[in-house]
Amino acid sequence: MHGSSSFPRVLTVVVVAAVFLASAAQARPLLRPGERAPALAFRSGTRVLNLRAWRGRKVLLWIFSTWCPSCRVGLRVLARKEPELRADRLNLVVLENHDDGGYGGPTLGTTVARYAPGLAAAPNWTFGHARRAFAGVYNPRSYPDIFYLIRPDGTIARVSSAPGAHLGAILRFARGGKR
Amino acid sequence: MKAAVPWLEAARTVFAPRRAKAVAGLTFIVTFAVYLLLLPATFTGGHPGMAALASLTPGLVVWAFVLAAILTLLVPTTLHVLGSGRGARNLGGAATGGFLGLALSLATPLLCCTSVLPVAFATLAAWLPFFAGDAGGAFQGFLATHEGLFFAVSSLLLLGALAWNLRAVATGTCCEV
Repeated sequence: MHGSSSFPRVLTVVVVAAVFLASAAQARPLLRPGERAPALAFRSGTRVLNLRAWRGRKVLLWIFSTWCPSCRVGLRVLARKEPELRADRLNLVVLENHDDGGYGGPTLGTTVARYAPGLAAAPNWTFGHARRAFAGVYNPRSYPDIFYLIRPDGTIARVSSAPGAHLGAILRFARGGKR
Repeated sequence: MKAAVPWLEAARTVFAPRRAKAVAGLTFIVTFAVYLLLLPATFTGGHPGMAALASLTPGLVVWAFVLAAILTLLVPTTLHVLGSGRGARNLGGAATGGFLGLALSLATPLLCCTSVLPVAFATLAAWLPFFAGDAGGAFQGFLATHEGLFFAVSSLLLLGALAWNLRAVATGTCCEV
């Protein structure tokens, strides 16, 4: 008796889970390691820059939301490693998420001034804003933050989030390691 | 005062055996350690570990202590009620409140700033357009900037479960042979 009454419930759970998994599978795909990083434009202050300008250099492209706690910690952690990253010739392009990820936070300038003072003038750092088209390609699932390690040839080496938790991988990439 | 006394008596009844004290001690050590490792995961995109531990703040230590302290009282009382011979039926609302409080306290730092919520919202958006667009980001942003509120709600749920259990012990409804 117990077995027959629980079967419809189990079946319902399995069907709902399958539908959700199928829906999730259709979520917009992320760019993957090995793919070429699209050369798209973004706004930096009053200028419009294009990722194409960084071709031939190692790049950490990071899109983040200013309200995100792990993003603030990541900014602080990367700021501490700035001399090392500069010596290893890693270029950091740090962009505020389109519409700040859908939740109002402090401005990018305020966030950088508070958690990574002095970086605004660092020669290997570029700050800006990811416009809708840019975020649609590089952050299609609207994560609070996402970063890409891009090789000099323009291919993506790694896609991840929370640089503070993946500093080892970033430093290895900067030094010229495979991963 | 008169209303509080039965609860104190209930607590004394639960914690009289040495075994209950041992369970309480072990619960505190384990849950405090778990919360100390887990709560700062909010600063590493939901990844607990040594990198997260480096980001531990005094505020999070306090929350870890508060949540662990409540669980230290809740676990032995729950075991006492379950061991009364009438099983999980005695737990009633305590089971729901306790589970919800525990789940919320553990999920909050892990969900903050990870890919879980955006994927979940994108999945829901396939059925309910309301969840499309910035709804996921708005929820995640609220979660990230109001973590203290979620921990407070977790604490209240756990305290509610504790109160339910103590009431069951105090009124003797759990302990009929």
